[in-house]
Amino acid sequence: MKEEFVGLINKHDGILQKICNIYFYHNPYKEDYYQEILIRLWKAYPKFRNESAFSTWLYRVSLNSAIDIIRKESLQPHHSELSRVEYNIPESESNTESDLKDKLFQAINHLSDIEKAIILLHLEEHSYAEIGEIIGISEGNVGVRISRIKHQLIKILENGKH
Amino acid sequence: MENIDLKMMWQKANIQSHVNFSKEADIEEIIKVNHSKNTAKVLFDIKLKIILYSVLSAIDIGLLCYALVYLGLHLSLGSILPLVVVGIFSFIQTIIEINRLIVLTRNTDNLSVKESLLRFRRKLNQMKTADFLSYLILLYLSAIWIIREYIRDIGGFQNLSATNAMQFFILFLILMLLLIPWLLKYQNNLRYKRIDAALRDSVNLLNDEA
Repeated sequence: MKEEFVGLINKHDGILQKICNIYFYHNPYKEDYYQEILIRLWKAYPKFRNESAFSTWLYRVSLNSAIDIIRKESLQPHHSELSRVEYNIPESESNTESDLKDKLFQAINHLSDIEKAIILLHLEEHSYAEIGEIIGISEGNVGVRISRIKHQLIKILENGKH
Repeated sequence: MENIDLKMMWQKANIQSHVNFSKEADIEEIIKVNHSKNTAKVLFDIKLKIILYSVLSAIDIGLLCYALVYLGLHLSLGSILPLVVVGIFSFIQTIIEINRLIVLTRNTDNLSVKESLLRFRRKLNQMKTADFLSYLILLYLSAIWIIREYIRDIGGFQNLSATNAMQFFILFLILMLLLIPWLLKYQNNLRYKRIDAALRDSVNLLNDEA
């Protein structure tokens, strides 16, 4: 089972990296959170019953794990959100391609954890039905949410404001 | 148009940020352990606290039982009060840390994001209620016990006197014991304010079909 799991993860490793980038962009513990998600995937793997595609299951478990890690971090007694300076996030406003990535991830960072999950799945070309299944909401609600989140993101990217 | 731009940006961003976190061969090493280093450290700290507070509670109860039951000593309230306070404190802390460990270790990753969110919120509320109730019950019981012991120490209600300084101290202590749970509830609301707001917003977002 372990070989099978490792093979599947290697095949879909890009998904994990994208989820880590969405939730832990510039976070100093990104590598550690990546490992924690991987461990939780392994623990959840025996419950995977091929009822949905492996990638759909991978998205569901990884997104739940990432969101759960953030929630549980905020339960720690001395938790405080690190500032931009502590995260070493540049304030650059230039239009070079490397800054494009920063601008996009910083814009996404303004969204709530659930909104991040929805927009990630949408940008990864998942259907409304798949998004609805992973998030646990109706297809109609997915459409409304995506439209609002996209509008919000475009606004942030254009104005640099929330 | 907006959609195309966002998707293009997303694709470009992911090409640029495609960095391997771990080598392929490392995956097997990573999944050999129960938690990542950071999480393992947090959980270890909580388990250590549970052990320390439990041992402290056991020693405290043991000493009280030895003195009051085994030796049958009739000690005044003032002489055993510090031991009782330490016992109550360590017992409450043990319960709080156990609750925290339960919340931090239980995962519902196989469920949908919404269902997982609702379960986490339920668990968090249970933890907060258990914390509050344990303080409420133990501190109220302590207040009642102190009143009873003090009345017995001074020889009954007829000996209560407005000029006795000790009496004011005891009254102040009782008031503190009665107020502490409510102060803790206020402090807890402040402490969990951010996560409560985030959970409320997420639930509203997922429930809103409009």
